[in-house]
Amino acid sequence: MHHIGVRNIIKNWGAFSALKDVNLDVREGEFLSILGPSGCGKSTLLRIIAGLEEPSGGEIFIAGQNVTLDPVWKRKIGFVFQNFALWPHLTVFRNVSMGLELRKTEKAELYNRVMEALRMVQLEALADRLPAQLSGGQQQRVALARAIVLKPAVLLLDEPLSALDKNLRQDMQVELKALQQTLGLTTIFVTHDQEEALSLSDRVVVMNKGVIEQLGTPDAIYNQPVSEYVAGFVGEACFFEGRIEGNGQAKTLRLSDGTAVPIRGNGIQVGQSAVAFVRPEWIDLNKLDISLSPGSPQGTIERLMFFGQSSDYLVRLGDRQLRVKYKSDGPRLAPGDTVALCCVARVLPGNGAAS
Amino acid sequence: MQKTLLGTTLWYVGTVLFYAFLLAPLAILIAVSFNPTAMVFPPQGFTLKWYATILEKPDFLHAAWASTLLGIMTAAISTGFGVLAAIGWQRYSGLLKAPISSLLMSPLFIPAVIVALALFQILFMLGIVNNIWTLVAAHVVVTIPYPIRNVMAQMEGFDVRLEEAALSVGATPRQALWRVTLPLLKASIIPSLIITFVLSWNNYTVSVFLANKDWTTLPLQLRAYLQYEYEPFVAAMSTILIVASVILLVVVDRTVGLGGVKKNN
Repeated sequence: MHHIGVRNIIKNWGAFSALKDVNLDVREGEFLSILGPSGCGKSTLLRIIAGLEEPSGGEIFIAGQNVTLDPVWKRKIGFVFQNFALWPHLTVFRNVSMGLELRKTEKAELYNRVMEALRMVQLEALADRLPAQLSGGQQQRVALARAIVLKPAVLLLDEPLSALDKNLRQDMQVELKALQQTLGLTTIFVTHDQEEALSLSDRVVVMNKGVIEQLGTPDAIYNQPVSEYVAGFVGEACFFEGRIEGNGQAKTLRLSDGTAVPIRGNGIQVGQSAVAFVRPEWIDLNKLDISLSPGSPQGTIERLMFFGQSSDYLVRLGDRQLRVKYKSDGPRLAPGDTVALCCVARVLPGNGAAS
Repeated sequence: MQKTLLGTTLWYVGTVLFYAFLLAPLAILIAVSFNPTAMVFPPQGFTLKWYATILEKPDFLHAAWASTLLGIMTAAISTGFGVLAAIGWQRYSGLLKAPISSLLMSPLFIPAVIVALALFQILFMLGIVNNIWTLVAAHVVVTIPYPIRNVMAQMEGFDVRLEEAALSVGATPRQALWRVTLPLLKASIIPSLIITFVLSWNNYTVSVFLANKDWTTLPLQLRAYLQYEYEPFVAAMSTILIVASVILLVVVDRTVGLGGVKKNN
């Protein structure tokens, strides 16, 4: 049973179409991320679901009701803005209580609900402060409390963590996810940060130029992207183009330089041309026994980058460079070494071209 | 440029002279108002009797009342429209954005006497005279650029997401305006109220065309009185006008600041 339904949503800004016939179902209690680069239409879609923007066509359903014509203030949503949008002239308490005041909530209940929401985000001690007296992370929590105090049907978050620095962002991710699960809130989370989307979400939507490129679990999005665009956006990828060869189980992609890469994937047909990709951590570099990997692409190690728990090798492969990720206890290779690439590339469906 | 002692001294002397030129006549006028005998300086004694004589002159009492009422109405209407115009202007993004702004500011560039004459002509043709509302309308026209400019300046840095946040917690647009937008614009609304009041209170050029005997303002009454009498009472009245304006401006400066555009969001 879907909880938020997006049906044939279109949005045009003059001649520019920001959203082209978008359809999406969000399940009850689900944490769904909308991932894409800036300008892909993700924020516009979120704002249309909230009612902050009017669609040029299509319908929005929330909890089974068609809310397309309802203004924001009648939709039961909680919205968290990128810059938090706290009211600077009101205390933390009043920021959170505003929605309840507007609903003419009885005094004792209002107090209890506000303090409960503040307790959930660990801010009850700062109820009397003004937003300007809070740190970025605390402001973020006030914004969250303000959204959840009304017990909304859905929680909509527009890049809520991008204004925070990295460590704080990671802490907030954990808290946000915990809060969402405690409350069982149907949540749509808009972000351009792929790690954030993959780590928090039950499902991820990848958008590009006003259309949904792929909808799936984080695992599916990362490991089985449907297009070169998705593969490249959600993580680092190195692409190979060639013709499929082989018999039986073992199929390879014959590249234009004559080398071949083993491949896997659905619906592989021998003789077809295809695009396949590999992730940095899928690749093994073989230095000693190049002869054991006949026909594999060979490259030269250009640079080693040490990150502590992992190390990256930048490998020159013809006219391009690709990244190979190892745990730091991996093989000892040095710049200048010639290596064979051992990996199984994943074939993209169709021709793999971005639609 | 090297700062020299001479240069600095000249700079200070020039500044002092400049302010002396501006303020000395006012100082003399105020001093004269305490003179028991005639409009001469230096005063030949000290008395407050000229201030008390206003109570014996019902014309002046009435004029003071008319000016105050006119000032309050002008301030409320001019600032009210100014706020709405500024908010609307900020949201509008069409081709006419720049022309509308110029139009709203135009009373600043057109001599007040011409505005007044034009209004007088039209109202005369329409037969609407002897009416405080024509006077209020005229004062609103000449004062409205100030609130518009003040509020526009503050709206410049205004984040519409603050209003959207109010809508998202269930506020109607009207509730969002009252609970979020207007309180945040306080820093430009209060100075606007005071400035429009002071401008109206001190206005002569526009009032002279449109006032009538029921609604003679204090500056008009003063001017009329001067044609027949020249005594320290006039100085006392002027002092009242000056002091009232100064008090209001000091109050604004102390509370929200005369800049009116201090960023508080």
